Amino acid sequence: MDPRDGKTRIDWSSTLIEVALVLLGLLLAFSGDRLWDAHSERVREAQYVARLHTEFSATVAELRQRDNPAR
Amino acid sequence: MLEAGRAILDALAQPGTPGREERVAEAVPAVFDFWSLKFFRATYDDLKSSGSLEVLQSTELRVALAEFDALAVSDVAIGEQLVRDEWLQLVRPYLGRTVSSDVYLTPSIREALGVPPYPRVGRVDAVMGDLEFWNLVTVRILLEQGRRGTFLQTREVAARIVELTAQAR
Repeated sequence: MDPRDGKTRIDWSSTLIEVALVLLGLLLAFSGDRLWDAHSERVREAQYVARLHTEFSATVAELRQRDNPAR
Repeated sequence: MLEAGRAILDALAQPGTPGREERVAEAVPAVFDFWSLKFFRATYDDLKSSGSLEVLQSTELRVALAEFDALAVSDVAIGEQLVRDEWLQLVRPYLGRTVSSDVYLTPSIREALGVPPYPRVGRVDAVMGDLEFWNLVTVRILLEQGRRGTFLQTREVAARIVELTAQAR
């Protein structure tokens, strides 16, 4: 409060810094979330790819065996 | 199977050759083995049914998987059609009439029944001079040759998927 006129003075520069800090925090939180989602998706993809590799290797082995003239 | 079929036709074409009946008896189960392919595709089916195929970043891999899916469906359909139209309606009744069951029990049926291998000597002599038998073997070879195109394509695409998944790991 300003003792000369009895009104409250707003410190605009501090307020702006605080708002900027809050926005920065939100931005960081969203970015972190997106990065984590992308990471989880890549881990999931790697698991699927590994399983596909195992299964299709078995399928190829089965198909090669079927093509064996000795059968 | 194709080799066994050709062996039978060769044996039929050379009457009086020693060991001819044994060669035919040996080859009959292979020729009339109505096989089906075994695909290991639980993961692909899981991805497809859950709508998660997009998790795979490689477009090439997704395309190869879709191609394999179409070929596998096609091969299964061809196999079922052969069993329905050829085996059930033509081959089995014929073999049942002319050749004893120990000959026409296929390896896969024997395996499914858990029975030991039978001696492969039956009434093969009954079919040796029979034109219907010759026709059955010829039709079988032709249909298997037709199926072979799908088979080779399926194997090629499956091998490509193995390569792509090895690269992506």
